[in-house]
Amino acid sequence: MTNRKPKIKWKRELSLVVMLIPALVLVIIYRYGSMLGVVMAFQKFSPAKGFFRSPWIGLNNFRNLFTMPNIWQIIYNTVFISFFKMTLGIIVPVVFALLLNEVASLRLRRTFQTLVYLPHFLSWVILAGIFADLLSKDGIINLTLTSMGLQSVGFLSDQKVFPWTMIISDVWKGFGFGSIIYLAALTGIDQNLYEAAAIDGANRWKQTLHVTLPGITSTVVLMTVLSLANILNGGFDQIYNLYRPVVYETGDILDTFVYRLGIDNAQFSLSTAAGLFKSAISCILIVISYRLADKFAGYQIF
Amino acid sequence: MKNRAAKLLLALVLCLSLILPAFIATAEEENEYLKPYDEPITITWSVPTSAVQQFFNGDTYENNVWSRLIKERLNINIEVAFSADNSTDMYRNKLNTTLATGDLPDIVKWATITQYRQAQEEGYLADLEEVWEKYASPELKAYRDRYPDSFNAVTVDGHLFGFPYMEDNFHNAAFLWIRDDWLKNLNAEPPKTIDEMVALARRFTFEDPDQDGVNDTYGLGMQGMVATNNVGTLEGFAGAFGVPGHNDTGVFYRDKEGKMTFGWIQPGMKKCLEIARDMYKEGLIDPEFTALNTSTMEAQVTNGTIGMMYHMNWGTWHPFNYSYQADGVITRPYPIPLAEGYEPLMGINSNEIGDFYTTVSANCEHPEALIKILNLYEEVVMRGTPENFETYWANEQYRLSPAYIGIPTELFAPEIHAALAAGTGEGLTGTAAEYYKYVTGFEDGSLADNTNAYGTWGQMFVDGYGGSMKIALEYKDKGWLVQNVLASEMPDIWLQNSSVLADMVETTFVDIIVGNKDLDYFDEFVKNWLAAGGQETLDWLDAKYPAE
Repeated sequence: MTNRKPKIKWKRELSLVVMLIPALVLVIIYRYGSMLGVVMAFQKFSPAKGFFRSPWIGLNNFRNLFTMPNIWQIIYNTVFISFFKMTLGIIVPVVFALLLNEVASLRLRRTFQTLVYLPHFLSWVILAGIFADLLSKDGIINLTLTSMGLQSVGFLSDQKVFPWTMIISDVWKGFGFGSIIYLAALTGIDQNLYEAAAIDGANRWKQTLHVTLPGITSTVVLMTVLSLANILNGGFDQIYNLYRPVVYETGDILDTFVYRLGIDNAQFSLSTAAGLFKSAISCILIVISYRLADKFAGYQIF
Repeated sequence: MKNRAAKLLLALVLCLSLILPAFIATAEEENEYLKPYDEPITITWSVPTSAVQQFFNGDTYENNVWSRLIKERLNINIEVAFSADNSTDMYRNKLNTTLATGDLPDIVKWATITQYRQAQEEGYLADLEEVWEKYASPELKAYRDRYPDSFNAVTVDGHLFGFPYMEDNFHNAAFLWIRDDWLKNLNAEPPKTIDEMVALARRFTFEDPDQDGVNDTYGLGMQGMVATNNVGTLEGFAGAFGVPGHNDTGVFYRDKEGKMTFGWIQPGMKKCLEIARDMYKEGLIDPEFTALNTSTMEAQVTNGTIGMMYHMNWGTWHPFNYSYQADGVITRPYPIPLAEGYEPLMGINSNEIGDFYTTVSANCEHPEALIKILNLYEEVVMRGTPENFETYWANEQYRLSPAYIGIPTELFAPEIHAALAAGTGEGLTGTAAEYYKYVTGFEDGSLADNTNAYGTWGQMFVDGYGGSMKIALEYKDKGWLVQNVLASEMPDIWLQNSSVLADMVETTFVDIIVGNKDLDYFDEFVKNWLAAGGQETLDWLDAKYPAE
């Protein structure tokens, strides 16, 4: 009796499982296969010798990495920049989605939504050129500031301002796209709840506080905990295309540092060690955030 | 009678001396230098592509002037094994894959000395010593004697494993390039001292040198990477204070007292930074220079924002050709202005370092093919007709040959200078004659539209100060040039920490100039630099290249 049911299920799902095989093979080859490359982190790797004949040097690469004179400053920069990118990257889209939701005209709402999506589809290589122009000393933003009698700001050359330029431009680029998921969550809220609230005498603001926000809380919590894993990703494309030595002190992040380290003298091992360190931290954070997501938002994958 | 016999003997000898060279010449014809293969052979090569490459008449990397010439003269089919962009990391990455698999094309051009060394140590490369002895023409062989340092990088236990870029790096020093029209508009003289340079920068900034009535100019052009790049850096500026610096690594050298030391940590650098800081404060340097890179810097040259800039010998090839093409502006090189109380020193790369290391795969059946191609290149470009030079060298065509030789400027330049002074190009041959034509053609206006002519003119002209080559030769005579000791072999600590050390140099200098840090931070920088692997590198070099 207990045997029969799974058997039928298996039969029914066989064709689906077969369809999964190509994807599975691809994942094994290109994801798991290339993961073997992490052995480089424990070797003195030379491309000519390959994985099998490069000498093993244990944890030396990690030791070297953490004795680099500026490594702690760089880790601090990374966490600082990505923390604010994450926080603002959640608050801004949520607020935007709520506001957009209040717009009555469907056509206007669609137009706004499309407009704010657009930057998401531009690569940082292009945007960096535009920003460098806009934010320079003679750029339109500084010209506006000076014409109003304010001091011009070195958005890309002042060490104190640079991280914020990175954070705000990143939020600007991403908030439109990020709001999609919240808009979807908003449409999922039962309209009856609003009617009930209105009957109870709640105005728009009270409805937002007591119906809309609780309705999307689980989505917000979920997005927050999932983004925790990115705490060591400061956004390579953006910073690499916009930074200069003058802002290294506050703007250099792990990824850009590793890039310079690896490219300069083909230091594959050291770069891999840094990458592995990042992955290890991310892995721990993913586990923690998964537990948190389960606890607070009832979210489970497995 | 005796006299008669002697005369007869003399006549005989004279006759023979006329005929003998002919015999020798025919004997040479039968030599292997340029003998075509009986059956066509195929040679594959790795092609580093470049944005500056020009193609004419539908040529491609597969089929071009060189591939056709090599086929015609040597019966070798040249085939592209793979090509990748060398101005990005693409080409280097591709070579790394090649290293990992060991599947090398017949001719490989390594982009870095590290890659070449890895391939050599793995036994991937053919030993060329034997074929060099047998096939290299006497003219080609002369290069190995002329540039022992260059060849040292590709010689292992006396055996040749490839070809470096055969040239003397002496001309890679820095010069001060100034716009002619701004000097004329302000009735100013080119500066001879740093004080005069600062004064001229002040006038270039505040006295409207472009006469458009707007305060839109800066005195000295500078970019955000002040110690690493070529265009608009501190290189020549610091040179006046006895600080030799050169792109990428900086310069390691033995100082007067025989101590192994490093350019950027010299005490003179502090003085240089002080002056640069004051210039920045006064507004003589673009307040946003830290955000400039080489290409935005070049835009400033083209649109006439800056009047003066430290740059290398090839300024008229790039980027001053832009302002010349746009507005007919002539920019000239001058010797670096000097600082009182300091002996100038300028850094150049070790001659072991060149742009490519051309090697042959150990699996190639015809290792001599590379030598033959080089023989051919040497004959066609260095000793050929003007038409040959136009077809096979000019407009970047030389890059299409799987192997090429640098123009030995240090030999040609004095010849050309003498010819220009004498006013006649007679007696000049090959490349030198071409260069002479470019320079005179540019001076008399007949080649005014030819970018090759303006480029060559900037390097070679003789008129008052002279082109960059004349100045470089003067630097050399005065003993102002120091070669970087750090060359093809590097200690592990340097390989690992060099980017961190380079960052320290860059950030310290920029921070001091813009005022983020005090001038005295320089002393702390020196200490940090030494502690972060600098001292270890110095010790390694000191032991490896002991004082003579």
